[in-house]
Amino acid sequence: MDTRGPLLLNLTLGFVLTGLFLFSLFVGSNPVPVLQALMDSINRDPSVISLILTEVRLPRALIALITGATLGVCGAAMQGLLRNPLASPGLIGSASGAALGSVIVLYTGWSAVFWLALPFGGMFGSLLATLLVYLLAGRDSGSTTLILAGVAINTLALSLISLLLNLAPSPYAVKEMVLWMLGSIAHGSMQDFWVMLPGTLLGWFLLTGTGRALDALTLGEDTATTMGINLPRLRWRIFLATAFAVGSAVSVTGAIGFVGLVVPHLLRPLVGFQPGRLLTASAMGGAILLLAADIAVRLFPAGTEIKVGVLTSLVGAPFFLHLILKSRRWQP
Amino acid sequence: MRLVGKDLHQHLGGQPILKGVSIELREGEMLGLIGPNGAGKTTLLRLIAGILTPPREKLLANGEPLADLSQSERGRKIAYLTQEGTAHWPISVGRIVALGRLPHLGTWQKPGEKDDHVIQRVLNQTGLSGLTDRSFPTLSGGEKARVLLARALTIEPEILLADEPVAALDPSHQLEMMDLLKMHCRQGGSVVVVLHDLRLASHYCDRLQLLLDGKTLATGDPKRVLTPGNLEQAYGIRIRENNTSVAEAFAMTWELGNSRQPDSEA
Repeated sequence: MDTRGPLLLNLTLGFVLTGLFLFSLFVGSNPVPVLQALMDSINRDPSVISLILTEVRLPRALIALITGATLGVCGAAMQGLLRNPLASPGLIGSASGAALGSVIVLYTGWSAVFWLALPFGGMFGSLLATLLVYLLAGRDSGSTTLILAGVAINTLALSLISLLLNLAPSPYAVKEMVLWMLGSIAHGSMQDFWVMLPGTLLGWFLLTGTGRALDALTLGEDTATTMGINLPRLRWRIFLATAFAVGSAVSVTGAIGFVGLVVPHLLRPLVGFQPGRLLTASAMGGAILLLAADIAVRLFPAGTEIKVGVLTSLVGAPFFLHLILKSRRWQP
Repeated sequence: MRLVGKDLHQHLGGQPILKGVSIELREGEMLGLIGPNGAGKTTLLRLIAGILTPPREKLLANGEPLADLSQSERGRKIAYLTQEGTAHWPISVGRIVALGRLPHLGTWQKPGEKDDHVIQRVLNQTGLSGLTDRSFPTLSGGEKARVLLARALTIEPEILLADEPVAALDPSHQLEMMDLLKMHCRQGGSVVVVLHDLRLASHYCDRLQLLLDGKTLATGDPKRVLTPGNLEQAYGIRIRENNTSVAEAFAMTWELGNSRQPDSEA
């Protein structure tokens, strides 16, 4: 069987990813001689440029990398599990649950008391929402029930967020919550990066080795079961992985839409439509897309920096429409 | 592998579907499951396939409970060809057929020489060698059915369960499909096939089992199962008067033409 094609694709993606990562260290409102800054920080010389590099640019690039990869790989896993190109990691409530958790923390003011409260609130919300969807949809039920349960929980989470915005004590609190929901990695610190790292790594770890099962699912749930795939366990693994990884990432960055939807879809033809091979490729593709989007918002000539979540949604929504129109043409 | 199921019961959504069906399958045998819609044929297949779980002691393979096999072990021994077989992504034919080797591979194990060999052999036998790069949705109904059968054959199962594999096929594709199932039996495997075409059933199957309303109405040699009385009771049909004998009524009166004969039985 051919292994050269996917290898070439992964190498190309890896190359582009490395390039973008390094490039994102250069780009910003102040030109930073990266090599000089690097030398300074290695020599423990606290110059301004080395501080910009290690305290601003580096965490921003790392967070974009991890978040993008998480959204990409979870999107690919979710689409493979549900065998639906319109599925996204947010479908099972991970993103909206994280948003609700974070908004509650902001609303109550805990975030000012304890800096870890915000990411922890997000992760807890993500886990809780995902668990609810799982309990609602049942262990053995088909994909349609799962999608419906996801829609219900997402709606509930969003309406609770609206309620909190509605009841917010001050306009300042509203602004804080809304800005968080827009999704940004501009103010991420190394601390944020370390906070999100364990959850995302745990999620990635849970996803490794699910490729074969997702391939078998191409032929339907019954056939996959008779091919030795333990479907309830696979569903559980992907749910937990998404809850941990997306929950951790989103609770630091805020809502970043459409990366998990668009990336697997773009890369699918390049891996021969095989859900298993799509996982790694989508992880790198997601990282590339988010790094590129974050570079783009920095270069955008606007007084107020556009939030990266706004940009991805702005570009993603028309793409989503395109998908719908295309699938309608395929299935008259 | 010799399969024995004793007094199988199954409820679905509160409705009793199987009310005590027994089944026996010998090595190298082709067993035809026939019966009207809703008789429980598919449910019986799903029990054997392991999608539904019967009580442990009621389904035995070579005298041992089938439930004692691990799921992947079972996946290597029993292949299931579903009724509405499809591929959810536009994957190529070659990759779908190769999926049949999954039960034989560990999580990180790459397909080896033996796997490639099996895949090639099945592709040749099913006449799909020229189509390996075609994407599944672009195939005709007959080609799709053959690809899905090839996927099941690539498992090299001891038992192949096929649920109405010829329902949507034209006459020559029906014969080709049945010939491939028969070939699997000749190679030592056994087949349980659900059929509505009684002519194909009586021509190809070694034994028939006629289900009605979740119970076995008759089982055994096709001639003994397809009696006027059973046909009337199970299907509410009767043989027209001018065709007096049952054997004549279900005789296979056509075969594959010269243009459709396989070149070799490789």
